[in-house]
Amino acid sequence: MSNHTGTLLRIIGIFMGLISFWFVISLVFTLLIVLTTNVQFNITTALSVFGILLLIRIFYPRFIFKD
Amino acid sequence: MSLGVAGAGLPQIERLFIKRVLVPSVRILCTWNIALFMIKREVKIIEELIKGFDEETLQKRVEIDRAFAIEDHSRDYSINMTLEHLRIAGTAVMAVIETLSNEKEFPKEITIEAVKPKENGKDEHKKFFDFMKIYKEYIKNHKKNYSKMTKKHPWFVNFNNFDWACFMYMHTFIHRRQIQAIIKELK
Repeated sequence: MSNHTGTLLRIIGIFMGLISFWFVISLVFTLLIVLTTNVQFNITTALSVFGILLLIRIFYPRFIFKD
Repeated sequence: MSLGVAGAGLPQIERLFIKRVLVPSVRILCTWNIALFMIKREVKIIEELIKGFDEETLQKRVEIDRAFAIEDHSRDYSINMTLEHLRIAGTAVMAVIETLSNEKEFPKEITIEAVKPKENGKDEHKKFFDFMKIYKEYIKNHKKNYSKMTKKHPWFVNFNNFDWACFMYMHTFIHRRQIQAIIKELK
């Protein structure tokens, strides 16, 4: 495998790791929501919280596509 | 043995990929502390990679194949030249972070040519690790605000202080891969 391809694969790996990190953070939030409200825990709830977290990160602290 | 012009840049597709995909993704997924953790890891990897090499080998220039995010001009570096580049660029990045963190304008223009290695000195690896100790301590004690003031990277977009800290990690990672390519050619 070339160094070029290896670097790209490692970048994908790093991002997968970071996405997993944020997913774990969102799971903690989901558990807090489940424990404090009547919402049932399921994968849709967990993914929704993860989606909201990413959406917040897109706009805060700075819009990610700002030049 | 130079392979291109200093500051000529990256292939268009690579530059656009970094600008439009990597930079926004890093902005979503990274934080000050993640960037610090990751750069610490990179420094450890570099330490392990160059352990056991004598000074002469560290200064030996070799030509490597195209590497991701490395411009052609930088494809014939030695390990010490790569570390010298990381130290020079890192020193500049630290100054930019400090200025932007205080919401002040960074007056100097940042150019790729200015951060090219100049000496290929025999003790460059020591200078690099000494600098990285200072940098890590600086980021550890930084107030970790997100500045409104920005400074443009010559190849990409306007970065605020946080973007520059994340860039510092990605830049070290890219050049760690370059060091790995150099070591492969040296063997």
